[in-house]
Amino acid sequence: MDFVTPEYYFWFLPLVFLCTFVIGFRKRRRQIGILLASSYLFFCLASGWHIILLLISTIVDWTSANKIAFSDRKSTKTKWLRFSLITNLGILATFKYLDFFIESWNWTSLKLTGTPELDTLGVALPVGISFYTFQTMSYTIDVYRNKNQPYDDFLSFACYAAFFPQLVAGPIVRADHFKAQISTVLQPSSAKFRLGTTLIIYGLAKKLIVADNVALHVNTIFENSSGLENIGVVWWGAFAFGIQIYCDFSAYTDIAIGSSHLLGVELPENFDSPYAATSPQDFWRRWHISLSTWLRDYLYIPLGGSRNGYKTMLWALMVTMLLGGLWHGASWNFVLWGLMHGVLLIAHRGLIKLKVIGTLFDKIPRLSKITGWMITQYLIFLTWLVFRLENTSVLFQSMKTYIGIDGYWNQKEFMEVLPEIKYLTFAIAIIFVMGHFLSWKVGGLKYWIARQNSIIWGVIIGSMLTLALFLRPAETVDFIYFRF
Amino acid sequence: MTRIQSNNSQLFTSIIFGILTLLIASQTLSQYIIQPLAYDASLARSGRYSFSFEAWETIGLDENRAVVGIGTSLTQYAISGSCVENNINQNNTHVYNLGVPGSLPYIEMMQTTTAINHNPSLILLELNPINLYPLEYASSEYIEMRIKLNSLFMDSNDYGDWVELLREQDKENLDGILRNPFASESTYFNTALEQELGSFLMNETAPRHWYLSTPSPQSTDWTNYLRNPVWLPRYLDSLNESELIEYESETIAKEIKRPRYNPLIETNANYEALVYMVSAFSSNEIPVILVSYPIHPNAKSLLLDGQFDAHNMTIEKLTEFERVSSLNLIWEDSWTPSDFYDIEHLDVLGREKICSKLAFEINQTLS
Repeated sequence: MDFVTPEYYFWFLPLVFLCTFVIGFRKRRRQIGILLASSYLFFCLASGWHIILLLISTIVDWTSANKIAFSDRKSTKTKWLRFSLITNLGILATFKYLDFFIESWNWTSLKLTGTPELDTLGVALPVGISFYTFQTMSYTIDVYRNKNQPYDDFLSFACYAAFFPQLVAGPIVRADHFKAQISTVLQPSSAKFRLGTTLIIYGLAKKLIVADNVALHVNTIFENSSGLENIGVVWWGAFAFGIQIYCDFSAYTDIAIGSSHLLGVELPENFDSPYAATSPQDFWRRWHISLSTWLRDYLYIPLGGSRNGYKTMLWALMVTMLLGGLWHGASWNFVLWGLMHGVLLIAHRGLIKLKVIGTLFDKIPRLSKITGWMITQYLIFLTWLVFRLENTSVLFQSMKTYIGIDGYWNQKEFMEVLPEIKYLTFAIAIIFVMGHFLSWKVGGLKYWIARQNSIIWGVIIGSMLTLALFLRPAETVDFIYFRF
Repeated sequence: MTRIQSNNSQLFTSIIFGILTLLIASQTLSQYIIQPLAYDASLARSGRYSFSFEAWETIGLDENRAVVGIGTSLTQYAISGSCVENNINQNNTHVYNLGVPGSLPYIEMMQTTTAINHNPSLILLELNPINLYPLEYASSEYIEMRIKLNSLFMDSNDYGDWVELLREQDKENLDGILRNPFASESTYFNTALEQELGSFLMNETAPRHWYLSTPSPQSTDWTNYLRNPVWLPRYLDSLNESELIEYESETIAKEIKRPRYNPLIETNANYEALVYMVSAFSSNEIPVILVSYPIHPNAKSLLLDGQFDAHNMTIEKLTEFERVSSLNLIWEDSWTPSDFYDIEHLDVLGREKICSKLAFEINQTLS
């Protein structure tokens, strides 16, 4: 079960809603118990026995944080922090990265010595592991830093670790934020219901209309690997994947936040019109905000941040981006993706120090911003190629063509490479661009819709739902971030 | 996070408007974008795959008595409505031909409830050996496509006990509110919209295919088309002498050995579907004539002893129901090769011959 299966909307979510507000009526602990039980059920339906890993992570961080909070000795605190980090990172390393390291070792040893290969373990990736381990680790670190007090009861903490709307693909919620949300009895309200419904249907429309339809083009282009010297094909492939990944991931977040709203819990935003970014730094303020702020607080700043000299900043930034890339998946293309973003951030920091750039921004601010936007987006979409393509030869060919090396234009071939449904997908992409621009202008299209009067709201929501149901392709594409 | 102002009555109004929009928009998109392209054979190979439910609407509105032929392309090529109408005694009777190429009783049973709701005077139900073809040999893509297309044109009144006879994997292709909402629309909407956008942008409209498409139900040709479908020119005439010899000696011999000419009764969903249809019509006091259309004389001569036993037994079994009779034309010796379009379909001469035989049976039943 996930956010695009009918079961979620026809029985799971309504049942959780009813249980939370009927059985748990004005009983906070009962409500939390219901949310926890339903979260574990949701996880079991999505990932089966991997729930044991979630339980281990929960128990370890609950124990560690309490030991840290109630101990006076620095060494004890440090010991429990290490225990938490080793356990969480150990689980992550074993279940997400071990096979990747073995494969990399095999590749290296084969090239160097020709020695026999090690067997990979073939471990299935547990759903949401990168999200919940980061979430529970941040809790223990915050308690260690005296930034937060530990949770008062295990039930609430376990609910924080496993809360089903954001368990599988975020947003990565901070412990204090969630604690504040469940500190009082959860109350349903018509405003929350309206906003929740808006976000869910808006998310479904983004996923089923845009992401899944555009994905058919992306898959055809990069899996058939034909026409990859045609600039039009590669540009469209990169652009389409940029649309797909944003709509897929932000749709998940919208549905997560919407579902959570229905249950009376507010989750933080994860996206803010990322394709309106005018610099790489601006992009990371708008893209996967909960991860980028997590990396900033728990990696970049501890590594030295920007207040310890230029060299330290460069080092911290590069390490953060490399690990941020690797967080996405056990594959070298994600490391390269992180590296490219690190280079872009460093280059941007270098550029804005140049006097000529500062003067340009002062004299012609609008043109400079538009130029910054165009260059940023051109490079961001180039990095999406790296994110999407694991096959090295396909990747390098596509990158060469993208930047114009050995590429050519051929409109006829472009149309032939694409799948049968073409004009509709182009139309969807155009509507997405317009919607993204509009969303940036109005500060979030979904919130604008939620604020409309009953008639306009009903017409927009009803139309979006109809189109989502009608335009969904025959086979739904899995959420991309489920893999992470 | 943006604060939203809403009270319970506003929320209730919003939801009502949302549901109304969903209902209106889904109906409109289906009716004006998908359905026309289903009739003109743009979404599936033949417009006839989609026309049965709309045809029943027309039949229901007809104030004359309605005799309706249901079956495969054998029915399509055998019944000329106007010819039969001219040969029967009753003036106020219209004869409709709802034969669908490649169809199966398993699919045709989906219109049983609809047919009963529109109360026809008589059903001419095709019962040839090929109708007892084991379902397992049928193309699953074809079955899926037909169920989805039928689903597109059905409403809640069209559902009935036949749903229980569908295999689990086929039930998945039926639209349902809780299960598979708008599954059929989602299958065809993208293709339909792509065609509309393509025609709009390229400023070209493909001419309607004279044979594969059906006229629009709103057009003046529709009612006539339901009575007199379009027929292809005789296939056997397109063959030269040597090809004809090869066809009549080798091809027919091969065809007659295929599973579709080896009918089965036990564990055959097509048989179950026929029993269901006949019993449903019978219990609703709608008379049925089980029509077994003739096959090419060369094919008949190659049949093995007992090859059609299951077919004969099925006729025997089904005629036990009240108001059910049979017209088995397979064993009549009056059919000549010139009556046939190919091994099993009738051509102009054959249609003329069968016209009077059907008219006689209809007269007998309706009088």
